[in-house]
Amino acid sequence: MKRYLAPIAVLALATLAVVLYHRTGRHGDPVRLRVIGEAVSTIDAVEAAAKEYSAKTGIQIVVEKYEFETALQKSTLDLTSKTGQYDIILQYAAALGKFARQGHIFKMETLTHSLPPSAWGKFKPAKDLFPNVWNELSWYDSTCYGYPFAANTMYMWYRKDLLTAPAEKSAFRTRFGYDLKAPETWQQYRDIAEFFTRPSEGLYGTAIQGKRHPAVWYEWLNFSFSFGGGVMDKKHGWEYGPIVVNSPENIQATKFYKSLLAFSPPGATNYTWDDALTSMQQGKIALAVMWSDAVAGLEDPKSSRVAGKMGYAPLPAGPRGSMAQIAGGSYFVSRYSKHPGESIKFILWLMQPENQVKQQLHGGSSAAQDTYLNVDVSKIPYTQAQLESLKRARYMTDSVPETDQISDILQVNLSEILTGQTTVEIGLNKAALAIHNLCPEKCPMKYPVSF
Amino acid sequence: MRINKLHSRTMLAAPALLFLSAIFVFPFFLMLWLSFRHYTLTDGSPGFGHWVGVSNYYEILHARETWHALAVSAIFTALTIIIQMSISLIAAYALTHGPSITPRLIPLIAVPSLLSPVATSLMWIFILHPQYGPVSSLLRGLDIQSYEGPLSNPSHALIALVAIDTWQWIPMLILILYAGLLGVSKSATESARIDGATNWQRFKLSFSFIRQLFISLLALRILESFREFDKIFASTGGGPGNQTETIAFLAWRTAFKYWQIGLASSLGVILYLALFIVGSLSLTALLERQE
Repeated sequence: MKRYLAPIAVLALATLAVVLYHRTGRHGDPVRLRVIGEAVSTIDAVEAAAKEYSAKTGIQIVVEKYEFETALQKSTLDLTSKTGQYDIILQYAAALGKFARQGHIFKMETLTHSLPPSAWGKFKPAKDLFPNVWNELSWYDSTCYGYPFAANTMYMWYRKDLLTAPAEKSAFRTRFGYDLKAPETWQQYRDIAEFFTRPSEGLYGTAIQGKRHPAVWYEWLNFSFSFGGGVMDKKHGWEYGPIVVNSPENIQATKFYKSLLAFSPPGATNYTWDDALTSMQQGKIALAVMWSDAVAGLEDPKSSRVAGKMGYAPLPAGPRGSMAQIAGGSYFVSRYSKHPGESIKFILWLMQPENQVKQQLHGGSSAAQDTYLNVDVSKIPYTQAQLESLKRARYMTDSVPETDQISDILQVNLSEILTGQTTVEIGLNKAALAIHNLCPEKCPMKYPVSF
Repeated sequence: MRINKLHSRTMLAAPALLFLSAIFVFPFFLMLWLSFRHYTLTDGSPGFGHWVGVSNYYEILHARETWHALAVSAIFTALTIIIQMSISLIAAYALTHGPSITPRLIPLIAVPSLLSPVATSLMWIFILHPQYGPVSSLLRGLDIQSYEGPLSNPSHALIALVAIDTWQWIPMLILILYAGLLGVSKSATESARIDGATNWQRFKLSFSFIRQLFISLLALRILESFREFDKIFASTGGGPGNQTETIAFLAWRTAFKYWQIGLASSLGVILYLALFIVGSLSLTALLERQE
């Protein structure tokens, strides 16, 4: 037995050393903050700013970027396993309820109450941020959990060169009896989409993002809300309320949404926002409902054939008016971070007005109102449309803990509706019932279900 | 003395056993334990939820989507196995009777097997893309394919996935069966030919030499196909609707979209049992043949 004692002792000591190393870190090592988020232009802007912060403070910032669903899964697993691999988590409002309700992220009050005034710099959240945006992206149940890294919204992209061409204007007027211009109502949107659908020329009026994917859920919400529908009858994303998925307004909105498939490229029922962006960059689409954080790629001549030819405007109006959704996200600090103090200081630095402008110029989507008044920012072609959309933006996506499930239920049923596997009425009834079953007491059915 | 020897052997085997337990046995028993608990990552309850007995299994087995996913998995597995095993066997047999340059061409056909499933899917998404893809354009021109492309069509999406899987797996299967057929005694097949055996009879004779190899491959492919996930995730996301949602995809969705870890674990156990039964039956058939 004696001969095993030495190796066992060595093994035990080695294990102890590894554990102590990971628990305490090495003295003299620089602080390293790990940041995780979706690989879009907004996190690229954060990454660019992080280099400047590292040079200034000596704190290392490692930014990890993943595809939308992978970023969500990695963040959730890191928090639920309490590993603390990531210090700062960039996630969308849909994840907020799940994180906050389980105490996985710090309340801002906890992190900021002991900070000196100098740590805030020029950043004054209540004054600087769009109140509607900050409220929906960073607050859960009347408590603030972060500051927005992106105030994403959806607005309309259109081919300005096509819509202003004299020959097209004349032909359009002859056919539809009114002037061709950026559409202000969904009916006009459909007319223009129909007019420019010319498969023989490789041109289509619009591009529905109809794949079973979060893209279809987000896109459909624009139509649903502007027709007077929604998912639940409530005021804020974090609340519960009666289910209105199968309301007459939603049925009307979904029928309209489906009708746009006729003017979309073949295979649009397998499109996500990536496919819609690619088709737009290739110059094959006349109009689209797209995200603010994807627009930078459209105006880059290296990747887009239509750079400089595009126009941007808030989404057309439905029976309930023109609406835009708030679907950005916030910087959250993990409760299991080893450097929460350094994390909040970095976040507050990112929120400084001059850094918000820099991020916006790098493809960011700032939630600070004054960013859009900056001379350089105002020269960006889509700034005005983004500003107008953010001013009118409202909750559309839920941020309750069951949001992932609600989204998935709608994705499956909308995909079935768009591909003709079921009718609009049956599909929405199925979705309503499935959502009701997730939270039967908090989410009563407002409209009876009939198949 | 014997006790000491036994003790030494145990000590020597212990690291390997511990390693195997940590890698294989522990995760399975953890999954089994979780499958009897109501454990979700959305309700804020601490720890690993609470004990619910077999109610997760009851819920899973009473859900229409479980049976739908099992049916999709079964159809996908049956189609891929029948198509891949028969084509690869015929192709491997033909190669053994091909010209002398054939062995040098073999590495060329192996290329698809070198690609990862996700890379394969992304490549085929482009090839089948209704706007840009060459295959879709060709099929549309011949008027034998729906307008929107196979991956967007509820009736064609699963067939398209079978085709993609076949494209990736066939070269590997051909290679293995070809190697097996090279080991078949030439004198036996030559004698059969001299004795007047037909082509079919000579094929059957050759096959009898590689039967065990064939059954092993069959078992391996059944297990692989039944738990197919990567290509579906990357190409259709389980859609259109839920037309390509396999049981493995449903387990992933339950765990990482619904965050219902207890329910997902019970699905994992069901998937494991299904694979265990298939694997055991294949192994039994193999061992019986050996006896």
